[in-house]
Amino acid sequence: MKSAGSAWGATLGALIAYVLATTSRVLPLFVYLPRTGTWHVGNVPGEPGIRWYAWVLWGLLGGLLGALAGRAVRERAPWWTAWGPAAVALIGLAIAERKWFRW
Amino acid sequence: MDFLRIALLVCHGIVAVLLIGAVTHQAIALWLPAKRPSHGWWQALGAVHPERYVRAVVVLYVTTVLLGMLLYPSFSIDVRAAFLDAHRPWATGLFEVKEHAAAVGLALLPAYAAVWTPNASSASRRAFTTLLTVITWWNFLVGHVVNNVHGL
Repeated sequence: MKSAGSAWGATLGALIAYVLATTSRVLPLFVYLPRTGTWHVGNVPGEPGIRWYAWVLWGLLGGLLGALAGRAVRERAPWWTAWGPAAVALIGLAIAERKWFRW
Repeated sequence: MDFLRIALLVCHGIVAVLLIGAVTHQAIALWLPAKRPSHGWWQALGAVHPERYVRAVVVLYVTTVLLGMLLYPSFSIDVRAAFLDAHRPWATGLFEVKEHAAAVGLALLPAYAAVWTPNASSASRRAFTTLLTVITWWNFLVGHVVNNVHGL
């Protein structure tokens, strides 16, 4: 990544898109069903599905858009504005999975 | 099919070990750089050139995630749906956090690579490298725990 602005934007864009995809209904939820090898919009009850593929794809798309936007930003924001949200997202996403740890 | 799955799992593990080695060396050299040339083992760890690990870390990270993605369908059917969700939900939870951590790590890579250019500060290098190191170790350990609970 040649431009620091693009790199900053790519990281932030990917983070925002991934968090939006996982925690809200702003972006459509695509689910891959490994048993049938097909894609569905939304979960299919009783059928194991993989949501993570689509979440990562949304993250990649967000990263591309963020890289384009970051290129246009002349004065890149300080780097903590990229690693700070990443650390917060990591903790927040972990807390969001707390339902699995109830005994 | 079983052979392919096992081969992929072994490759996933080997690449993850290489990634752990690379990013941990880099983090040690950033936080505890060697003050002067020495023959000691620990000093040798701190004396590596951390900037030389950047490309390796990026390539190994992406490769590890891609191999994990290839294994995911088998894991989803034969491990998670068949056993973990019903009998060891905490292991499913650990795995869910692992996949989020892997994605956040992917998102970090562009900025991580960029802070290793000459203009960036060592504080930002430390921050990105430390985050990637924590993510890598977390994912490595959780991968082992979940595989021990119920292997592919």
